[in-house]
Amino acid sequence: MNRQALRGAAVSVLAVVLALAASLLVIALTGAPIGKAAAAMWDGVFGSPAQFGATLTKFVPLVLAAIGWVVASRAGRLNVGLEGQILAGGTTAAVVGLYLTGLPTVLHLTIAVLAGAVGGALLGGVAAWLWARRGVNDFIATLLLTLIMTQVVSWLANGPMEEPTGTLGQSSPVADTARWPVLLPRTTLRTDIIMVIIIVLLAAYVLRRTVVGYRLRLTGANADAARATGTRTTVVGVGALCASAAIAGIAGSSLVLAAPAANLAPGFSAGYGFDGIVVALLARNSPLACIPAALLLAALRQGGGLLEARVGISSGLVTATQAVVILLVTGTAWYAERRRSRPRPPGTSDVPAPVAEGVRS
Amino acid sequence: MTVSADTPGDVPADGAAAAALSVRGVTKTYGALVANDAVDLDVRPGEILALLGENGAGKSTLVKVLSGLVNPDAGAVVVDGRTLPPGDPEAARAAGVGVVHQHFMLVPDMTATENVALSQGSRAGRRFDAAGTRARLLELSERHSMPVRPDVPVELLPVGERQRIEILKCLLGDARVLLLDEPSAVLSPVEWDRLAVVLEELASQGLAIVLITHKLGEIAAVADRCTVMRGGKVVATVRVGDTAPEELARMMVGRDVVLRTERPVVAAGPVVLEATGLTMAGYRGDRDLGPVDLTVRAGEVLGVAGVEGNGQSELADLLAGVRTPTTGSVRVTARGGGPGRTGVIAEDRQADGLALPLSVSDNLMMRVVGDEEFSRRGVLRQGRIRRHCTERVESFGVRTAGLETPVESLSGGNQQKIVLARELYGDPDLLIAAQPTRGLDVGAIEFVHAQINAHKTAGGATVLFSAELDEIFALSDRIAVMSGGRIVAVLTADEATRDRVGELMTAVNGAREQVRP
Repeated sequence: MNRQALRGAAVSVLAVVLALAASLLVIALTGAPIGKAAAAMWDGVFGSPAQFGATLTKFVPLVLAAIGWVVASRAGRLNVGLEGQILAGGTTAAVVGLYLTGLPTVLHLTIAVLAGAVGGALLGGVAAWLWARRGVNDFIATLLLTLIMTQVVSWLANGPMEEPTGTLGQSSPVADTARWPVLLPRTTLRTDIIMVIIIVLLAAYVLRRTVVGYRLRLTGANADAARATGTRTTVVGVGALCASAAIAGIAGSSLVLAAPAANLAPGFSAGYGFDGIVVALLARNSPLACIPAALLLAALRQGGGLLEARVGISSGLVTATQAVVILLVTGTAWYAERRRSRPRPPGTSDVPAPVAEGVRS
Repeated sequence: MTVSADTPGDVPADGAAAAALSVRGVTKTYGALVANDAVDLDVRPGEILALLGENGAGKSTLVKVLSGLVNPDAGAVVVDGRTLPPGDPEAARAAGVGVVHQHFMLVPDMTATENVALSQGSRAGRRFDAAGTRARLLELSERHSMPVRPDVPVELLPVGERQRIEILKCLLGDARVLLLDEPSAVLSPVEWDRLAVVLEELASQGLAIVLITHKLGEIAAVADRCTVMRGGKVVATVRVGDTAPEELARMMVGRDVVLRTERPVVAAGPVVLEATGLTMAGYRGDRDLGPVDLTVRAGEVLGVAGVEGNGQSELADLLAGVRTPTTGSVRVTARGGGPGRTGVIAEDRQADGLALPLSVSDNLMMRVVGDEEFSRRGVLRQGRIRRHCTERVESFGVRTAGLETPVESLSGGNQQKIVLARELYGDPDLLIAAQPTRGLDVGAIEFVHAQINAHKTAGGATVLFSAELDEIFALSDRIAVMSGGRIVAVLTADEATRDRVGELMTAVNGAREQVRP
């Protein structure tokens, strides 16, 4: 078990190293000086407290989305609509932050975050209902709902919720009482990162140490066996999808309530929902491993920004570089998964041992 | 003669040159596993050689080497004095090696004629001679009294007939050596007897036949010599007439084996299982299951026999409560009154009985995780769970590196022990055991049988579904025979004979299977 986990970690690290090497190669091919590019990358992440704070700010929604993916996929459900649930949760949080005023900060912020969770869960709940009652594939349902949600947010930001001047295509900032307090002065980092760490630890605990987590893992590992031994697998599946979506919804609330602009703007989810899936793959579906994996992806996002600004590499190329990273990471994870679960050669199903059947290595 | 189980055997084929098929020093490794270790084997024309060994002894690997599907690390296969190019199935076929695989290699929606034509190989542009192939198929079929219907899609044919098509396919390909991998696995006793006659006749016409099996009874019935494999090596080659079954079993397993377990006699108690009017519409295409009525008492084992695919799997699911009947009801009563508990050994343990990626511990907790004893307010009680699982693993002799080891890395026998340890925990009133020893080796089979008998002695009721008639006879107090989705008879152990049960098994199917070419 431990050996396997170690090997998994090694594979993930290898993927990252390969990905970084590949990125540098792509940069070199454009003729840009590699040394300067690498320095820009480094400065982009660690160059100043502000840069590092920005990295950690990006870490928050990434790790939440990844945990959302982990919760659903451990139960055997594929929630690829995290992006949409982030949008839904951000929207409900913004509504509460904008229109429910006159509350003390503690109360207002709490309600706004919870509203984000509920908003995400509602969208995830639609997909869960379609899956459980109508047999709609969860992958398709969550993905298509994301497309709808993108349009809904765009419409809200340009219509009913637009700021009073009606020219910016986004809402007014939420009330100060609904905003996360700043954690590091002169950075974008806010205190929501503490809540995020608690959510990660809680997810790890629930999965490993509770009956609900056990039934979730069991359902994901073999739904037929789970059902035959008394686990209500449909309930587990619906619950996992909703919980997953609620966590994504909290990520959405942070993207509004902890952002400098603190308002609702089209596309504020910025692909975090999809990158979260990459984080979860890199972390091999372990909640705790999502922390380093999300840090890495956040650093790549942040460092890529400065790469563009300082070395003058076009933004398209930066995106392409990130795509290379993602492909290598997922590819390597897939390869490791395949290696692990590759069927044994036929005719060797029972290793002959002199005494009795033993453990296979 | 005496044969030591530890030294390779010593009945030589009369001159290697005369052998139709010779295997010399074949070695094949998969990673650290040596599947075949310097295997030697000879079959002469006109001889039936049994290749005996447990699961994992290396029989299937050897068959794959012989048929060219697997390229050995070392060694050679010689047919009629010519060495075959390794790893070339086409060359093996052309040299006259015909293989009837355990899982048939037939295209389900094609007819026998089309399947045979397909196996003849094709050359671009050559016309497909349907009429000629059909005529030759029928001629061979008649000559060897192996009736087949040439124009029906094979998926509609009974397994016995499909097997005959496989054999005819080999004969049409001018096979000089015929390898049959576990041919009896899909046959009723009657069908097996018929096949045995055919095999003997084919041998008498000069064909060399290799019969791969782990069933001792079959060897005594047809084989001339027997090569025993264990752990990838050839342990011995003996003349079947000179060797007692116990001796063969000992060579195969490497220790003394109790071939027959004594069936304990327990006074039958109150009715535990009562199934009335069970039906299930369309269990297999347009065939309906039932109506089935069953009663099983405490301390009683009811064996359900039948040719595979006659509704046993579905009935097992209904009794286990995994599927819902269209009509009828299943009632399980505890010995002390009130609703009873059922333990289930699923027919396909990997698909329905275990969560393979999860740990030994997780797999042992499936039924009881929600109990007060193992969780409090939804939080698992780690210490108690560990103690419980340790006790289960020890008392069922599961060989595992630890409780956190994923079940998928255990052998089939140990996986089944985990299922038993879980399902027999807390003395269930009823045990549904579906193919409980499928794919297990002799040692594990012994263990499973002992557990079923222990459950019975403790006063539990058992319904045993098995494709192995020997198993049914060894354990059952009463035997129900299924055919065509119904129970056609229930016999007491005293009334039941192999012939009678075999006849009943094919009562409905057999009539359908009668073919007059």
